[in-house]
Amino acid sequence: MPERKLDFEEALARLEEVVKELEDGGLSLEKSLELFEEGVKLVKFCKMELDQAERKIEIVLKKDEDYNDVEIVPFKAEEEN
Amino acid sequence: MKMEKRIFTVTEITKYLKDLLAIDPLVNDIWISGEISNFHHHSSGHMYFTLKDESSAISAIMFKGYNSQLKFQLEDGLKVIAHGYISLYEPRGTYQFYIDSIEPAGKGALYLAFEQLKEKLEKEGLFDPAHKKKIPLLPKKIGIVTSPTGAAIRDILSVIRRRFPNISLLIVPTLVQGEMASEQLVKGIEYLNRRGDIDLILLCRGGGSIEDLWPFNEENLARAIYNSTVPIISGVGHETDFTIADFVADLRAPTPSAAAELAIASRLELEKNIENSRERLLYAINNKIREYRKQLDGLIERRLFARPEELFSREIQQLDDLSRRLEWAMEKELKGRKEQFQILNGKLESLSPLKTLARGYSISSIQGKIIDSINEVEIGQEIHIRVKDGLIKSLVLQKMPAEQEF
Repeated sequence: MPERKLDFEEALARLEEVVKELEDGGLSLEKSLELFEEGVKLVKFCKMELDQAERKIEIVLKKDEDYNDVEIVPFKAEEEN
Repeated sequence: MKMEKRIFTVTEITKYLKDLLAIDPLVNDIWISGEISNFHHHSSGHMYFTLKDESSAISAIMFKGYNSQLKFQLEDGLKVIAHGYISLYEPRGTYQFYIDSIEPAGKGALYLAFEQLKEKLEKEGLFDPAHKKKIPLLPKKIGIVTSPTGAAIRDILSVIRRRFPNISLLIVPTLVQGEMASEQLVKGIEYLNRRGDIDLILLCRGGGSIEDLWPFNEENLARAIYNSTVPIISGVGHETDFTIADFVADLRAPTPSAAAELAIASRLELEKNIENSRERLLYAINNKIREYRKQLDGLIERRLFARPEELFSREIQQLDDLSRRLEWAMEKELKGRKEQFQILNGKLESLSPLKTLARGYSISSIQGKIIDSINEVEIGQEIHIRVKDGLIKSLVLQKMPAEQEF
């Protein structure tokens, strides 16, 4: 895993960077492998992020105009069944 | 007979004239067109101005009770059509046009109001592209401010279900037309901002007339959109409808479904993108290793016979180490590629000249150059034979082509 918490977008951008750097060559084998390892971790992270998002459709029921008191309940559209 | 001279007081004649005007059917229910000048919005709330054309002018007044409903701004130079009655203002002895409703000449009041607000907000920088926030590529939780019963929410849900089923949505139900709507939309946006777990807001409404869409042209909503720290995509009405909200929003979608499409980059595209990067990674590292092997070949050619153990032990160790790491990375993360890797790894292994020697092979050289043909040596020359544990200095006694070997 990247040390600090990357978000999906940053991870994707970094992955692109890593791939490009590796493709451009001119690096030592050591450095190349380092990048490769980082890239593999990023791939794994991105895939995990993609799969992790959960499906939930909810609706806010407010008890006052300013949303100081709300209740969140699952949303059922008439069409959804 | 001489008529008696009747003398009026100022008040009497003023009253008489006022009554004359009051009983005239025309001036009591009249539309007048003209251009506004000397406009003054008094602190009392009443509006005073002059309506004029090329040759005449008439004083006009619009009381607070009427002008507070105006959607657009009255201003000097604006051509209008106004309705009301004409009466006399006794303290000054002037007649005035008392206006109860007014419209811009030529275009609709709402259209003008839209233009005026757009110009004002544009000047203030509310549409500035530099202020627009980036739409996240993979939002985790999307807030949707719209009517819970309209076509808009149905369209949005169907798009999201089709393109990215596992995503969290939080619907904030509001009115989307009528006087109360813009305030509710504002509160909804503010609420979603306060929650702190929303990545993206969709502000949507299905199609309708300019009156129906009007809440999306209100100034308070424009400011709420501008002040939102969460990025907002607007999708209001049909493709041809542009609202003020669209101009302020971080991204304008032509319809609610399009807003949903823009909100979620296709999962499939993202997956393809990642898969593509993965393959490029493997390809690049494989290339790198091939390249390194070539270098190694070069080294073998040039320097094997100088100090082979010392020369290669470092490289071979490094290769072993890197191979282990490569294998570890691949095995752990990319099981499918393991086989491919092992072939590669096998090739790396075969590169090691010391291992070859260890199996009983030897390498002969003459003056530092590897011998791979009988033509490279002459009888009587000294050659070196490298075996796993040392060097044999030998003399060439005889050369036999392969076919005469036995």
